[in-house]
Amino acid sequence: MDGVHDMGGMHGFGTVPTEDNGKPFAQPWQARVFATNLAMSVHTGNVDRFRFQLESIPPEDYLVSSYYERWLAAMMANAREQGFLDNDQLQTILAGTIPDVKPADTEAAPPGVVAMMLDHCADGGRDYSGTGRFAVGDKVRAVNRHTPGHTRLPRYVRGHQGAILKDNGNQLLPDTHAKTGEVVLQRLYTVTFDAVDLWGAEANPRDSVCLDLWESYLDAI
Amino acid sequence: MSDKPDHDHDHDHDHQHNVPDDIILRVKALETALTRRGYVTTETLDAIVDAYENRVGPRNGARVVARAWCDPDFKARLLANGTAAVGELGFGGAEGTDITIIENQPDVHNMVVCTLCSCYPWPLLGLPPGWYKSFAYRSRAVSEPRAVLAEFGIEIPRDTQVRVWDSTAELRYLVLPMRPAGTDRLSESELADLVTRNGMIGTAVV
Repeated sequence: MDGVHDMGGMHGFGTVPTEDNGKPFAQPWQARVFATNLAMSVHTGNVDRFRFQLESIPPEDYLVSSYYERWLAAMMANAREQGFLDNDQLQTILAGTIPDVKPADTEAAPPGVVAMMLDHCADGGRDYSGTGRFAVGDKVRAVNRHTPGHTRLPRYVRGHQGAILKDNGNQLLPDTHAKTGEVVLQRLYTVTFDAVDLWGAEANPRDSVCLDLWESYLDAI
Repeated sequence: MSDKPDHDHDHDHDHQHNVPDDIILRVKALETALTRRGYVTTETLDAIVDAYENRVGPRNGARVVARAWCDPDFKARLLANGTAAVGELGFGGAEGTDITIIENQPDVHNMVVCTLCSCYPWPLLGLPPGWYKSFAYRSRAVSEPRAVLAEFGIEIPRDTQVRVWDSTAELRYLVLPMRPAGTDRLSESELADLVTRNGMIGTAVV
């Protein structure tokens, strides 16, 4: 969707707040939001839907909310959508009160799962079976498509010409996965765009921007 | 924290307002409700927080970089298949199932961003710093990387290529910085101590 989350190339956000104390969470509630969401992924398991829920936060809220406030909003939306909690319970939570709930017929991930999540070291196992439509070096153009649903094709490359830098095999297409949960595998390429093509003559002619784009995001030239 | 309103704001720095106490109550209510429903357990949440506060962080990435500087065979494997190579050191998992290493060269400087959200190689760097999640970084890293780098205090010569990697899929990028001159005698662990988090994102030179 063409939302405010799609920030590449926007103006007006000022300088980068470069200072940092190296701590992952500034406040304990942020850690609880993060951990709750990660633990819930055992039941949801769809990061694409989660990202779409983040993008669907109304722009006037998105822009004034901090990172983990946005996560919280998306988690509440997800809990409603997936039926983890009903609307009344969520309203009670929004008011800052613990709702009455009955145990669901489910099993929570035990603490031991955390080590597995973090240490399973699985190679994502890229699937190079079949052949992609494009080969390394091919010139391509990012499609000009304005979908109201989830996509990982940022506005700032749409309609621009780039070149295939790398073939990453078949990977889960987030657009359909976010919408229906359906697993569609599609060729994923790393595509390089010249900065001057994207940003005009002001850009340094040596500079480039690389994005990972699915085959349906690209047209042959 | 609620008795110090001046310090009660969120240090993500991507917004201007203070976080109300409401949010703390909401988070507690949500966690409690999901716990009572049986979807999560407090112990599991505690284990996750402990892992990301104490175990998973940029020291992991620094070990990978130092190993690559010392061991050409490892470096070759790392550049060919980052996920498998970092797995040799025991690193992997959530947000790191497709690790791709990008190597800085004398004439190429690499820098990583996620303009659409804040994708980041958790197993190697931990969770992203506030600035990485800031709207300023997300919006400007792709369009004016040299100006952004100047705000981090580094100037890239005009004839050096700046290559920005926008993490739009599940590939997670780690920059392999150039080994600093005059470090021939340092051990692998001493080298790891030189490697900074920002150096592995590309907003610092090691």
